[in-house]
Amino acid sequence: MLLLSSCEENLSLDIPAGEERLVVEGHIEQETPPIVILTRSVPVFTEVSPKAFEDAFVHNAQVIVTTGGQSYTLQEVASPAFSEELKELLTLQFGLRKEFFDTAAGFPFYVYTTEELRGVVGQSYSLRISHEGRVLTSTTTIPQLNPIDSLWTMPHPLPEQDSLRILYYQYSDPDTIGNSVRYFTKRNQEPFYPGLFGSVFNDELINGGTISFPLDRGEPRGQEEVDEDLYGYFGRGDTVTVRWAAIDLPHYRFWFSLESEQNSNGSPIGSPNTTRSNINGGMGIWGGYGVTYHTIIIK
Amino acid sequence: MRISFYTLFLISFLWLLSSSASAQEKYTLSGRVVDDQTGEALVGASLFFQEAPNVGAVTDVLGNYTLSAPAGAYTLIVRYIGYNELKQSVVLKQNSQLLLGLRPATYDVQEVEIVAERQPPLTETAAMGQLVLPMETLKTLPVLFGETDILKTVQLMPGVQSGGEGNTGFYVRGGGADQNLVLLDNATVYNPGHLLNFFSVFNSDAIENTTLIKGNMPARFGGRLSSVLDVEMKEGSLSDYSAEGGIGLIASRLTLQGPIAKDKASFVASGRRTYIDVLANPFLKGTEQGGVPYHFYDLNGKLTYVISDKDRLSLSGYYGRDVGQLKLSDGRFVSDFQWGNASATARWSHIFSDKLFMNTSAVLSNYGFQFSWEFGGYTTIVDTGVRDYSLHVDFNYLPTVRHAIQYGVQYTNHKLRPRTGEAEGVEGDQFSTDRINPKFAHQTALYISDDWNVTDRLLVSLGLRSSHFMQVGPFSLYEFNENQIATDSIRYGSGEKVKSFHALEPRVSFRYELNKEASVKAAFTQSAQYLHLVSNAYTTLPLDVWVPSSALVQPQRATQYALGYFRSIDNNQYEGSAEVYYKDLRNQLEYREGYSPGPSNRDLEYEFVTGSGKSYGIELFLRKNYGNLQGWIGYTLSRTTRTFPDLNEGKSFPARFDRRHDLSVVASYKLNDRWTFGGTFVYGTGQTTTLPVRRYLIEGNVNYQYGDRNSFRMEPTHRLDLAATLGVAKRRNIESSWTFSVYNVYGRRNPFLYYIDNNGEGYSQNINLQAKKVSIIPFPLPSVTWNFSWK
Repeated sequence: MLLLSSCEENLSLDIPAGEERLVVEGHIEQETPPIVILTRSVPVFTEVSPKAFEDAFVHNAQVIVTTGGQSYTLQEVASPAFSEELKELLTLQFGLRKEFFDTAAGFPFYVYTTEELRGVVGQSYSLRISHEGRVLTSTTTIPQLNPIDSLWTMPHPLPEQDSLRILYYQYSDPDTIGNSVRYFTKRNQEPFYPGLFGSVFNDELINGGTISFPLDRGEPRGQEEVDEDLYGYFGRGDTVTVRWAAIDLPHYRFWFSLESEQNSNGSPIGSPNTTRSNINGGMGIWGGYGVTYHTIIIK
Repeated sequence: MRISFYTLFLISFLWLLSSSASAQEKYTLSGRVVDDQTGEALVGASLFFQEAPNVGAVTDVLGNYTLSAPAGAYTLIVRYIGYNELKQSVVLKQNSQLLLGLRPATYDVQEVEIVAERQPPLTETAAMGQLVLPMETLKTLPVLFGETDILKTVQLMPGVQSGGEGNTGFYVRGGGADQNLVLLDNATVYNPGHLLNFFSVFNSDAIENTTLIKGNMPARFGGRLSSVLDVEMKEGSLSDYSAEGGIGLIASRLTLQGPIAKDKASFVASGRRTYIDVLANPFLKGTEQGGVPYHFYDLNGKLTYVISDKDRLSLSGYYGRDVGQLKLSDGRFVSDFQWGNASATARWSHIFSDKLFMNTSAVLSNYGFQFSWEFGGYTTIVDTGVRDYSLHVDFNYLPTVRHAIQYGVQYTNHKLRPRTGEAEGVEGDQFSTDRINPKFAHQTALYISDDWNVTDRLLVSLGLRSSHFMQVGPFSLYEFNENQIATDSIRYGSGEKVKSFHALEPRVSFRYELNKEASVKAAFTQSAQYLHLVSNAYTTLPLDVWVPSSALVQPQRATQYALGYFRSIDNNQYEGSAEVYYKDLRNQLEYREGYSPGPSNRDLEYEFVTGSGKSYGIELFLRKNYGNLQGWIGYTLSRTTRTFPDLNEGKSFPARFDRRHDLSVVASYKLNDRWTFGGTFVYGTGQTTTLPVRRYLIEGNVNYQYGDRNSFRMEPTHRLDLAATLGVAKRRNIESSWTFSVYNVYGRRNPFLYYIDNNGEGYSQNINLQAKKVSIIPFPLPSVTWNFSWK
């Protein structure tokens, strides 16, 4: 709009350091071990360097996951000691590239995990972290699997763009309210990426119903600019896999508020808000995934 | 015979004595002030006796006035913007009535009075923080895109903060955007903004005058805590046809008026439309954007029928819409939106006697926002709005010269449509926010007030408003568990009482005249507000939702104390005031921490948290009323905080519109009969904002940990706007003028918002973080408008 002829300019701001808080990024999925990345928040303009990344990891915390009355202590592991499975899971569940776990990354990566526990659908998992007098707690569940019915594609609205296709899915929602989903897509050999502007859905408005809707292709976040012409589309010949993860409501709220905040950051009609964490005493997410995979080869 | 002569003499002498003793016994002069050519009532004209300047009056919405003074011979002076001053000798020896006709001041566009006097002199009424803004005042001031806007002039008053660069939103004495009662011919305007508040809905050609009351509101106003902006539409001339209008850069206006039956009935019709869409389309054809599919328009109209000297009927209406379209260039997503207000007011004024007047109005007010889009085979419609039916019966009663009593009853039936959504698929499947339904309420108020001249120096204004609000069914009250699953619901039938509230709202003020030129005033006001709008964006948005007080939300309450010193200098050439106020706000509403707007099947009220607010400050005002150079300086020093148990860890925080310093300088200078120059300069302490203080990574992307709420202040805003108006010589009954203006003369980049941009992947070290300032209209923006009038 002509009238909203606004301009942006860089500023240098003197921002107070704020209070350091602990940040949990932890997931558990059916048949996989719990993994927790524990970091501390750093002043917003802290320089970006391998050392800064390394310093952000919180070491020697006591991390305990409890399920069905049994407690498991997660051990801190540094990236040189990561198993192949662990690297795979960090890529899949945390959207991290394998290069980060190489020595070439310039800093060791740390996670807390255990071989003793594997996630089970329908189970609930409590997390308790204590570190230097701070205690963080949370609970999550691996919800019942909630697969999509089918995938298909539709043509691009403009006939001349016949190499691009829109992916559609049909989903039948169970008749209980509160079902939520996070989705990721994988195109050919690429990693899985979550939906860019919105990766989570909730059945509050469609409870018990069946819907057919486009599913935008996931893309890496943090891109400087999104290619609008290609956004959401897949191409003819692509092998597309959808990772469709049932999540519980607090887990849904975390992603919904995080994406909403990222989408409105810097928008004059945006609404600044903070991400809703499910971590008591800290920030971040402790989230279970109940995952199904669905593949389509686009002809 | 001689004796009887002396007896008579003595008796007469005694009678004279007694009458001069009862000279403190005053008489009333009442009547109406009208345009002597059209017979149109002049609202807000000021009258006073030259010999007793402290006896003054201002005409009401019907042009009625009442003056009381001891018996004697006086020179009555009547002033009204755009009219020649009237001086008339009056001998007051009994209660009498007088019709006063004013002659328009040649009525050249360029000859209008530049900045109107505040009428009557500030020192004389008990009212505090009350300002009248006659339209002609505004037309020579520089404005954005040449569109004269009363709301932008309102922002230049002390105690009033603007909603941001170019924005018509306003905040009065620390109150929220929803705490201003905006009335157009008695109809509540629920969203006074066009185009995200860059323009107000008030077409300046259709507006007769505007009164702003900053909180010490008379008892006849209620339902909002902070202010009343009372806008009156023009009445048509009873004798002559005329037209006026203007052509500007982005919009054109046309107003027609005239008699339907001479001296009996008249009409006025006014329209305004923007044409960015029409003008820009040829240039943008074939480009990605394909045009600017957006416009807004306003239609105003009023019919007046003079039944007799004692009865007058009028019917007025307003209809305005913003209409636009948004779509993705490949056509995957197409949406249409529109929003706007509509209102209709039928008013009957009746004069029972020279002591009792009545105004009755029946009012319809409607605001609606609709947004519909097609995507992925679903058509979705989002809707929100308010619909009011009101009836007001207001009386003015002047039992003795020392009392002016107002009383009345007001009733409104509200229907509030919350934000609802409905989606329908191509296969006929439907989804909707079925748990969100319109809410219904009855609002009733009784009020009485008395302006009591206790002595010649002391005027006490006592008022009491008794307001009652009742939410009624149909309504379902749900209880939700932690997972937002409804666990229980209570169903209320149609018309059944759900919840009711009552408030007694005392309104007390007094004025003590220290001498002819100076007075002290004090006021105490309590008020209640039953409708609420909560916004968490940088500006209020048309899709923000009005919600009623209900089983879910309590009424907002305010108590305000104000004290002021008023001074008139050099025969009211200059006037100045200093006011201090303290305001205590309760049951204030905000969105809960971490609320993000999104589809939901619960009432928005569940997302609110409640807290309190405080605001205090000092307002200085100095105005030059007459002469070639006119204008004012307003300065406000204030502080506004909010305290919410559930926000900012319970710590008090500055309100978003907390502004320590706020300065406005407004001047206009009439160089000669052809050229008039106008300028405004504003300065304000930077707006508060919440910024990230720390960062962390989630899935390798930057996320923010925010600092204390509103703990950060953006850089100060300041701006200079200039305008020059050139009058064109009259040709064949057409007078015209050109207004050239430059908004933001020195291209100040005032901050609209700050944010911290980030891109890149966290652990890969290519992450970039950069603080950015977003400015709106960061360059000098010239515009030209041609205005004309024909008669």
